[in-house]
Amino acid sequence: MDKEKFLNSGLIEQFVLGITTPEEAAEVEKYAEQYPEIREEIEQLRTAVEDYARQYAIHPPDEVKTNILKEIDELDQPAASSSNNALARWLPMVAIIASLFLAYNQYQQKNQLAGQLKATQDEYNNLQATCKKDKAACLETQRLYASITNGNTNAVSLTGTALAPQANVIVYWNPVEKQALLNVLDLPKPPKGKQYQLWADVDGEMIDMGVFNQDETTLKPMAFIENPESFNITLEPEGGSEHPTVELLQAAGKTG
Amino acid sequence: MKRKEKNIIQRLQKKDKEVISVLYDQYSASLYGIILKIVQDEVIAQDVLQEAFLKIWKNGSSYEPKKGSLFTWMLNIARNNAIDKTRSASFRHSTKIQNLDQTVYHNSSLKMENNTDVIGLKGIVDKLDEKYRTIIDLIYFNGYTQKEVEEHLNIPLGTVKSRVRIGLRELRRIFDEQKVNIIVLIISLLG
Repeated sequence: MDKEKFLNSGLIEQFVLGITTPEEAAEVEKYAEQYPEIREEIEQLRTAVEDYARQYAIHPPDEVKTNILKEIDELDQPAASSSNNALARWLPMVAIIASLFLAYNQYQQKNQLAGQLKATQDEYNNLQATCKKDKAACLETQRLYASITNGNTNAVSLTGTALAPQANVIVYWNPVEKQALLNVLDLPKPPKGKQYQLWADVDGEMIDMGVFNQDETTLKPMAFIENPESFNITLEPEGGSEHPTVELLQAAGKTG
Repeated sequence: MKRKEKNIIQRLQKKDKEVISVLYDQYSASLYGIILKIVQDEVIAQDVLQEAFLKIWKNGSSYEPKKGSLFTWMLNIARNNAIDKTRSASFRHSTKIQNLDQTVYHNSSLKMENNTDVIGLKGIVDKLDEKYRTIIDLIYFNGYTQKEVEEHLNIPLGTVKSRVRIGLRELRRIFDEQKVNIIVLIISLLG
């Protein structure tokens, strides 16, 4: 068959429409390789047929494309496609991981609870200790209150000398209970290395009743001395002296 | 063959996943339109289109450019899938139901007309004489052989063959004219 005859044989059109037998297709290919005009003819008819098909084109919904791309992705991962087998294969691993996770979780929870319990116990112990201390303080206060309100208690007010004009101290003295309590209301801050000392004057002799601080907040029990005529406060070196430094008399009050 | 198409074919044969996206963008509307012509139901047509693209992906390495254009090859796959669908029992069942409600048909044909109208090509299809169009449609869109057309339309095989030949050349002439018209239109607009 020559070129012209072949062009008019109808084979090219059948080839373009895809209805040639494999033998006919091979023949068309042979001619196409040999003659550029035939190649051109095929190309043009194909374009026409494709243009024709395009006349009926309708855009499918976007999700079709999404589905196609998703399915192709899944085909690419054989493990995911045979999901049943994959599940069977991974199930023990998943179970182990899950139980490890659970165990770790519980271990952590246990630790957390133990920590909380310890904190609660510490707090309870602290509160109990505070309570004990408060109770003791309360009892002591009650005892001291009872002492000063006792009918046999004398309140001796000590007033300041020229050295400490604002000094104001009370000594509660109970000859029946043989008890002396010191209540510092106001005293100047002593110089460094000095401390206040309380003395009882018995027949012209100063007898030591003990040292105390300027900032005593509670009633301070002092040594009990029989038959005092007066109480006196001097400034002494820290720790107190055997004999009072009378030049540094701060406050004094008569018992009578 | 155009270089662009050659590149697409090479990528398809090498199983480059991105090429499916390119093919889809370029050909899905044409394939979908034809599938819809065959199955006459949008939901089924979308299924067929999806199956067709998966087949195109799986069989990409077996495509031989010598045996026909990429589009014709894809169309064959889509068409065969669509025809298989119309023969399945579930399809016959579902169309029976849809026959009660013709709106599905009307909707799809309406859309088709709109589509050709929008791009300004309405009437091109009508320019092709119906005696050619019927045969080309049966072969190209419905997958008939020339022999089947002969039986279906009760026309001698020789006539079928000559109508295929003339019809395709007519089609080429109509599109060439259309292209010339568009070029003339563009030139006159620019002028």
